[in-house]
Amino acid sequence: MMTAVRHQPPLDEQQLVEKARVGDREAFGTLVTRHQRRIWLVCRQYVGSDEADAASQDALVKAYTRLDAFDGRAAFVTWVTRIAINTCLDLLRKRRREGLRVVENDCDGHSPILEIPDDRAGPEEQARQRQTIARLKEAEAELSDRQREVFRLRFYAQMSLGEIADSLDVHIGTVKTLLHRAVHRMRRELGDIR
Amino acid sequence: MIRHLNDQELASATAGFPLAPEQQAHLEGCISCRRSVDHFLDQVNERRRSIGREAPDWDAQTKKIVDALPLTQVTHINSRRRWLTPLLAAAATITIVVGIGLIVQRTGPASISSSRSEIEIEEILAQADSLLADEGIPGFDMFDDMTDDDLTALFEAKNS
Repeated sequence: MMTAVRHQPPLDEQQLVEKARVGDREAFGTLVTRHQRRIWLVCRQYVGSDEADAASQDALVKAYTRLDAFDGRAAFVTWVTRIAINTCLDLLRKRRREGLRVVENDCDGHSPILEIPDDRAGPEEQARQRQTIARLKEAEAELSDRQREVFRLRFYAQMSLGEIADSLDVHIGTVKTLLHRAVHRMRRELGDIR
Repeated sequence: MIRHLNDQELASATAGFPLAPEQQAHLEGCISCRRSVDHFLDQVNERRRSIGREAPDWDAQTKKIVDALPLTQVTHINSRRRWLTPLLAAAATITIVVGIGLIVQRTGPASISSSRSEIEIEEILAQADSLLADEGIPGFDMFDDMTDDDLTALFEAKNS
């Protein structure tokens, strides 16, 4: 006689949050697995690749200890993203207080040559990739802080306009305006204007 | 066929904002405009892929995070609520004091009126006693001058 194998349906976000709220670390681990890429990408835009790992870990641990403050009005990932942004801003402020050099307009502080090209690409293709990225970073440097922030969250962290608005606690119209200006200026800097 | 999209419209298309129907139709049919949008997005995607290659080992990252979680979940008092606790305590105290005051105010007159009614009853009873003491009850005149011993002797003689 065959025994039917019953698969447990995956828990939804709210169930996982409720379990984590009462101390279920495994449930929180599932939430981490789902959202850590986004959180890391957000941290990467603020503090650079050297500190993105530590900052995203810090943000997610903070989120766990503050779960009772999560009221479910925003999506869980948006709430954690806000914590991640605040964690990164605290880190940048700390750097400033300690007199460490904050690389303005280029948070990762890498020279373009250190950008990681695709291993599968040939030497010429890798050189072209590096050149493209360097030009893009130079163009980003011409944006205002707020325009660059919105541009990076939209295109690199791949957040929706609504998520960016919620995470930065600004109106969605503001996000649209900032993004439009950022793209327009970047296109001009990159010579894409006809 | 309408004119090519201007810079602002191309920026909108690049940012992923909806275009007017005729602009959208033009973009879909115009290789030049589409190439302008795609070229920018290709560069952005190139950079995003480059950033993605810096990403850590996600399993190891998850383990680090879960290991760093506190063993017991700490109830975090929302900082916004911190000032609320003494305020609520003060409000509760005021409510209790005012409540007790109201109860005392209401019960005070009631006790006076009940003592008044007791005084009135006492007065009525006293008046009745004095009335009975002063005047004999009609039909019982023959007993008025008799002592208790006389009355006892009278009842015993009647019963025998």
